[in-house]
Amino acid sequence: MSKRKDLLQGTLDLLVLRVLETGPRHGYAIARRIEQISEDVLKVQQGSIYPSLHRLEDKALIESEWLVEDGKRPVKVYTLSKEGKAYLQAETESWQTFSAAVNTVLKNA
Amino acid sequence: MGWVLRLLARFRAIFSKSSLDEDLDAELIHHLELLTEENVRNGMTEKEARRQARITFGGVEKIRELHREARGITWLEHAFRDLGFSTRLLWKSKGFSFAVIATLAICIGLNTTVYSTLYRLVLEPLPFKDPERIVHIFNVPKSGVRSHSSSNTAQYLDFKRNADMFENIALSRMNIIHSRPERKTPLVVTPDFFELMGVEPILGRFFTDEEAQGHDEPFIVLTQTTWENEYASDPDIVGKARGERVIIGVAPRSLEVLDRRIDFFRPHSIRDNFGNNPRLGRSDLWGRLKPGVTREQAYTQLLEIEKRYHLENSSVEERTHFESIPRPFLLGKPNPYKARLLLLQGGALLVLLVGCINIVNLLLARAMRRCNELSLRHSFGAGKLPLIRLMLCECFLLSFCGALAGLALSWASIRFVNRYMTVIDPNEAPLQLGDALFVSTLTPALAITLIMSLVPFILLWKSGRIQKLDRNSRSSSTDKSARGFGNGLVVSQVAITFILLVGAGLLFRSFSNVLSVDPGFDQSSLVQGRMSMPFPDARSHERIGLRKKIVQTTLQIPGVEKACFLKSGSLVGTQHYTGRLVLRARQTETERDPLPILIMYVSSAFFDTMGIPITKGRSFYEGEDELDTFIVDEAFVETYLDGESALRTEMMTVRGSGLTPTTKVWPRVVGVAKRANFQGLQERDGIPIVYACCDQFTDRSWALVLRTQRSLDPLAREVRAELKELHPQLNWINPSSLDVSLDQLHLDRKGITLLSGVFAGLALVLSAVGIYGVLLYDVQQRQREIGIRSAIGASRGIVLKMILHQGLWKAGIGLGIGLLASIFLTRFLKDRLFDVTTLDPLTFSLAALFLLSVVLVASYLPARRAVRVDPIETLRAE
Repeated sequence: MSKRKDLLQGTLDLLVLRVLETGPRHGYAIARRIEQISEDVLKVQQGSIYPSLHRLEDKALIESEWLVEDGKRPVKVYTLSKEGKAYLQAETESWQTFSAAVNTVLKNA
Repeated sequence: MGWVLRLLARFRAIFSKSSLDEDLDAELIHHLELLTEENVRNGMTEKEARRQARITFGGVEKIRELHREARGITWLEHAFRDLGFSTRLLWKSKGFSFAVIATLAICIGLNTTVYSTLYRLVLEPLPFKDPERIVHIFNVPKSGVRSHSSSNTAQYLDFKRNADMFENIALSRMNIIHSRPERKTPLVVTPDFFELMGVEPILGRFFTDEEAQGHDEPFIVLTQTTWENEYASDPDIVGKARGERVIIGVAPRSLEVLDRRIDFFRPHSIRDNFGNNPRLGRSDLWGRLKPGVTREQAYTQLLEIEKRYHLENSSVEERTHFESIPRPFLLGKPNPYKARLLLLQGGALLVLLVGCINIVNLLLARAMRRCNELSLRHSFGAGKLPLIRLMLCECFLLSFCGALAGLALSWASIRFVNRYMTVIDPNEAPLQLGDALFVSTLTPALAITLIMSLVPFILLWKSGRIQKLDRNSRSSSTDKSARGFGNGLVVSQVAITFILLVGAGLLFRSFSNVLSVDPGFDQSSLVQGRMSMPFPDARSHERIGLRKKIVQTTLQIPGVEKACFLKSGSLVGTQHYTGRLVLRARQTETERDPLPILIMYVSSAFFDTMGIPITKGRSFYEGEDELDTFIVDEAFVETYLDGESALRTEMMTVRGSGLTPTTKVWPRVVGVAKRANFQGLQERDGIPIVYACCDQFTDRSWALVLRTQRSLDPLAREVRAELKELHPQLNWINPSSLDVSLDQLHLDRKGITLLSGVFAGLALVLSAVGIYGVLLYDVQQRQREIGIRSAIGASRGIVLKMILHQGLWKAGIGLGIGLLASIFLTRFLKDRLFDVTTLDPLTFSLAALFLLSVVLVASYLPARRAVRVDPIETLRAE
């Protein structure tokens, strides 16, 4: 348990976008995917991805759609939009620059 | 663009809240189901799986809230919620809400009405291009007594040629035919008049110089009102005939501001038909100054032109008395009302102040009573902002309702003012509601109330009462600052009310003093009316004969006791001629500075008919010539003759120009009459009157005054019937009872007195409510203390005295401050007072006594409540 870390403020949006880059998903799938990839290091309270999703949708970075299949519950599926892709790229770059800089300082100082 | 869509989405989100919430719920439930399924797959029991799913997922409610916040404009939702909540709260305390709304409505209604009137009559700029550059040029006599003379074409042309400080100069003349009110009134104008005013025709065109050569050119321009009313806004009106004239255009409505009676325009001749003529005439001279030219500069130039003219044209003797100075006056509204309306506005603002104080006071008391509720909310997590939002919301509701009620009130009172508008100024269009001005008065009113509403809250917050949830701090010292503030409010309320009371008292005493003035004549059974003899061709001496016949005929009518006539159109309710006078005994001195007088031309039967006693000498003989004799009134003797005997004093009137030139014999005073106040009773100390006999006058228009006990209407019918027999065109115009006309002269003083009384009354009621409210609140807060006091032996008398003392103490301080302020402020009333000094001790002491007794009553009611406090009940309640 001690290995699990709280998410840095604002980074959840980035993770959600990255997950959606690999293809459309619904909320539960996104949450599970983040946990799996981070090998359960990043502690995401699953519910908290919903405000994040709605925030992103509000900014038009992702789009949503209700998927109805016969005999099943309708599922809300999220897709990365064009703006979202561009945004993700820019944010990823700036994150890398930032973390690289922090790493350098931590190593060499 | 993106943000617009987002904003729209948000607004939609607010109103389609429920469906979006369902969406979210569906999504969350789906998530939880999947989690539960996975947990079951991992070997948990169904129940455990659901529990774990919920733990992993986190608080559903919190997510919902976060979701809503991300999606909608939350503050708007809050505002709606707060509004609903406030409405319920205010509805619950109806008394309080009613008091606040009524106070607001009265104050707002009062102020908007007074301000609308003030704006219309005084402040509103004229609807012309650069009105500050338009001047009205009058010829002012060098040794001027009031009178301004108009101009003529000769002067106009001279200025037009030579005065280069002006961009434009124009003439206009009003042709009003009083005897035939059905006749349309033209404003006769030179072609450049329209350009000078800076207006464009809304149809057709204005006059050209060619169309203004003769004296009765057949062209007219309609006013917009005539065009609309008489021609139903006919778009093809240009070129059509109106009588013998051709309509060439329609002028915009703005020109009607100059005089509402104008029906159409006719060209004023621009040919000089006067030759070497005095420069005075019957036409009004207008000028538009070049940009940057001051009126002083223009005046200097006109003066030079006028001087040169006199040097070139007049004989030396004529010049001495003849010279008058053309003086440009700013074109503005002639404003006899300015001082009065400003006074009323001042009064209305004071009432507003008292009202505002009252509202703050009420809000403060309410806020303190709600302290527990507020601190409860605070302890449940409502921060400073939400609490302020709540207070603001309540006050917004209150002030909104107040403003609405105020609007309704001013709507009603503006209609009331309009009923009197024709009396105030027949020239003005009725006031209207809904001008932009309205917004400009309402907005500050709302802003003020909103700011005021925060004061009580801030005070309470600062005192720390809200932050502490402490039921026992009821009468503790924490709210000292708030109470101190409340006391300050009451003190200032009393002070302002005292000022208003003193003002109203002074005006009231003046009014009653005016009414008690002896009019100097027996006004009870007199009827006046104008007579016009329509014989342009009749020889002048025939007119004298006809007039005699008319008077004799009316005397034959049963019930008519006496009859006389005078030169001016009516006796009461008109401006009589102001003239100037030279005394032979002090000729050089009085010639340099002639004595101002009111000159009245009356028939020989005048004094007898009017019942004005002749105190010395005799009345006029019948047929006496105005050039031989004068009768003066007592004021004349006192003012100009130092009380010496007036009989046989030789004197002569100065006529516009110089001494009456026709004779070298000086007329003498043959009698002294009692002072009569035809221009209103307050004229008692006005200009002295000099009477001259007009038996020999040949004027076509004059006034017939009858003494009779009969009522006006049947008498007028009978007189008219008799006149018709003499000549079919004779008519007695606007007969009126002198009593009524004299009363009308006091309408304006009456109005102001009444209004100031209303203002003072309102202020008094408001401050009584204020004192009552504060004391009542105090009594409620101190119930425990009073209970303990009476439990340990304080008698009812002591408790009563304690509370009364509190009220009177505040009133006393307020009275003191009000007294000092009144001593300073009453000087602004000086012009309105009559036989009362600005520091009239009687008024001051009566006002103080009255105010104190009202305060006493207002404090007695809460005190009685304090006395009724049952010590056992109160202590048990603790």
